[in-house]
Amino acid sequence: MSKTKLGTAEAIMIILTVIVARSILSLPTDLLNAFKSSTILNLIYVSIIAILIVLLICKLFKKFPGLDIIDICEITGGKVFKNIIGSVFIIYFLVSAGLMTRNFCESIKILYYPMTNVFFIIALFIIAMCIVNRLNFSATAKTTLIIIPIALISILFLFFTNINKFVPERIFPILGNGFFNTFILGTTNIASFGGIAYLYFLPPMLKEPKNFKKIAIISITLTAIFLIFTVAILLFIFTFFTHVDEISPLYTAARYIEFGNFFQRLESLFLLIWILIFACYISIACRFSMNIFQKLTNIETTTPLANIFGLLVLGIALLPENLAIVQDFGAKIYPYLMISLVLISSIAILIFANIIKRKKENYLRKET
Amino acid sequence: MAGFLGIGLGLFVYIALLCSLDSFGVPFTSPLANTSKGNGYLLPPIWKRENRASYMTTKREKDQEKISMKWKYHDKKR
Amino acid sequence: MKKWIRNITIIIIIFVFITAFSSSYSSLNIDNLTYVLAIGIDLSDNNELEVSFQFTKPLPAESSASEKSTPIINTVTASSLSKAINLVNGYQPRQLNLSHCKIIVFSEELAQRGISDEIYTLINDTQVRPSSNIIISKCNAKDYLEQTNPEIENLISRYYEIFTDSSRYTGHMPNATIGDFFNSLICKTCEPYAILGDLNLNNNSNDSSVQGENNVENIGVAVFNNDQLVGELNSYDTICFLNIRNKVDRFLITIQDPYDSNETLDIYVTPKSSPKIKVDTSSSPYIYIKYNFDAEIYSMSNNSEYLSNDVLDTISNACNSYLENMFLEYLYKTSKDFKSDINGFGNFAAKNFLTISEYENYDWLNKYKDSFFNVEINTSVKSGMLILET
Repeated sequence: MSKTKLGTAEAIMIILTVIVARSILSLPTDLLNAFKSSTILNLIYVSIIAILIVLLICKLFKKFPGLDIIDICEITGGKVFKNIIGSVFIIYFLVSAGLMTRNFCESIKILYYPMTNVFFIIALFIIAMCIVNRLNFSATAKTTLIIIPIALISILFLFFTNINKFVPERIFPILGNGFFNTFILGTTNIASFGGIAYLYFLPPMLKEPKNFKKIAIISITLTAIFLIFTVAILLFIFTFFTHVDEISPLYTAARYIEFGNFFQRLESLFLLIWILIFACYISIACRFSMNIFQKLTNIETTTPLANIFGLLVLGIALLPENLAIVQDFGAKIYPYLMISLVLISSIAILIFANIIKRKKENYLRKET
Repeated sequence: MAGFLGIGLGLFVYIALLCSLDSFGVPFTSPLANTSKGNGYLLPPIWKRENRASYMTTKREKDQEKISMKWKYHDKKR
Repeated sequence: MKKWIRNITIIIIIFVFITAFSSSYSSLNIDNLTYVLAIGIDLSDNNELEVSFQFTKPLPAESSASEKSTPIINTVTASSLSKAINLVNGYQPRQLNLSHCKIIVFSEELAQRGISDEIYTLINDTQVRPSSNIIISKCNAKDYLEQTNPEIENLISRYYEIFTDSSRYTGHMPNATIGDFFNSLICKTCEPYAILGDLNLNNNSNDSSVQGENNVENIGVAVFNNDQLVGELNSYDTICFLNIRNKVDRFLITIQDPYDSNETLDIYVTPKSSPKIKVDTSSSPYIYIKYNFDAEIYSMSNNSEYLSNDVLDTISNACNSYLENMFLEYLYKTSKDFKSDINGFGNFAAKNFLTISEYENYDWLNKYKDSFFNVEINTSVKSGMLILET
């Protein structure tokens, strides 16, 4: 049984995968173009809100030890409600995985394979993901545990090697687009914390469920620190007074690294690490979708599902006609989708479930 | 065939395959990718470890005490 | 039966992938590429671009590494940079690749017209490195490339890589890269700059007096306003410019000996730390710079005593006044004559505003020409290097 349970560190790394994968793509540029020089302030403010929300979620989960949100939906609304919420989550995971794959593969195509059709690059990713998802869950979790710390160290490396090109005065003017824009409209930035969606499904998979609160807080703090580092690198090297849209801004930042005559053009090393991270992200997204599907339909093994979900992600990734649609989606539609599904509706479900459970307990207490 | 991308994805599949193997019940990548204490990149050196490795599911978790032959020291005190 | 089908499917899929990916490889094969070392862009007679590409012939495997191979220069006239690359691709049997392009030379007339189109094209290219140097030549860019003849280096690419290192220990030439140029171009707090180069044959500029086989000399900064060339700085101004940007390790100045008006002293000055810059934006901009230097006396003459504190104090004061004059002359030159803020003072001015819209309403780049400067320099002269007293 210990083979299918996750440890603390693995759970933290799984939640971190989402933010690391998103920040390789256009997430930092979207933030910087919207908030210009006050992005770091905004991020600190948003991460404090995120930690408070996560504490709230932990408290709401306390009454249901060992159950994840699908089981709680069953308690709240019965089987129909459970099926609806389960399918919505599956669609959310698959769509975000598919569109991010398309984004990443277009970047790789421009850099390395200018004459190949994008279909083949995406297909390679999907094949790798299908092979990995046929193994058991702990293989994926352990792979993530090995790869994600390398990613975190690579961002620190990028930060410190570029430090002599920083212009620290770029953080001024400090309020960027204005107080109202930064703090009130900026609360939508909480959509960058996409890892919270995976937090809802963790409790039954943990080896030590008592550590759930610790896992949640550590992962959100690490997410915030990582995001602030990424944004700081871009803010201090490039200017954001005018709207600049680049394909992969961290790649451009990695091009500036030069140590004497030997270490030049280290950006390929970073690209290798990012390919690994991305493959991790797709595998985790599909694996969680497969687990939800197993809960909804009560099938015994999920191995044949790996191929099916892989093909679904491939199909979704090929839907948009060009890169601009995908980047638009990531900047405008995805935040609202994430906030409404992951934050508002899920917390509403948890609150309802808590109320229902309290009513049942009161009823039982009155009877005895 | 797929150059750089192939190296990256091949590395990923290889690591995943390694993690799923186990020899005689013990996972292959034990000290590196273990799921409990004493794991990952931050392993302490051998002389500092107090607990036995958790992947072997031993009966007693703690290692032998430093001063195991307690009577020796008690004798010296007399 | 099932295993057969599965194996055959895998083999078919592998073949499909091989055919799909091979087209990208055949275009990037190293035997079919020629690497451009330098690009020179001139303005031709009918307002088109005359682009020169410099590449070397790859040496055959048997020859020794010390053999020199003369660089080849191809020139073509086209209406834009990408068209020029396309034309040369058709002319040469191999495809041009800009990954090792180390310098990009623009001629003066083209720079006065405006080079933002070419800069955008180059930055957009995935092959061009943002650390390539950008040079504005007073002569034709094609002559500049042809006359570059490094005497010590065997390979011209090695010369291109290290010739900007002298900016750290002499301060006569900045290390201007195309990445910095692009950043300053789209930024509203500073203006771009480039290296200034010229041929040595005509003795045009009064800074160059070194005779040698290499006919090309790079001294000074080309000052831009937006994307047009507006002026140039001589070597003393370049020292000031690099000091404000904190990019020079030590530089040499020559001051009059305060004790003997016929003699001059050579002093090596080292910055102690980065300068303290304060910008006051209440009315017209007022900029205050404070700088700390360490100095060592380099030249010696008979009967010179440099150990006593009074002598050192006098020399320090002489240094201070000389440097302050040098800095003020340079700053008023950029402000009144060129009207362009290449020092990046706009970054410090932004500290005084709360939001970006306030800063844009203030319009720093246009207000720079009305600014006042105050420079305070503190030099502490240490006596000599090896010999302390004669």
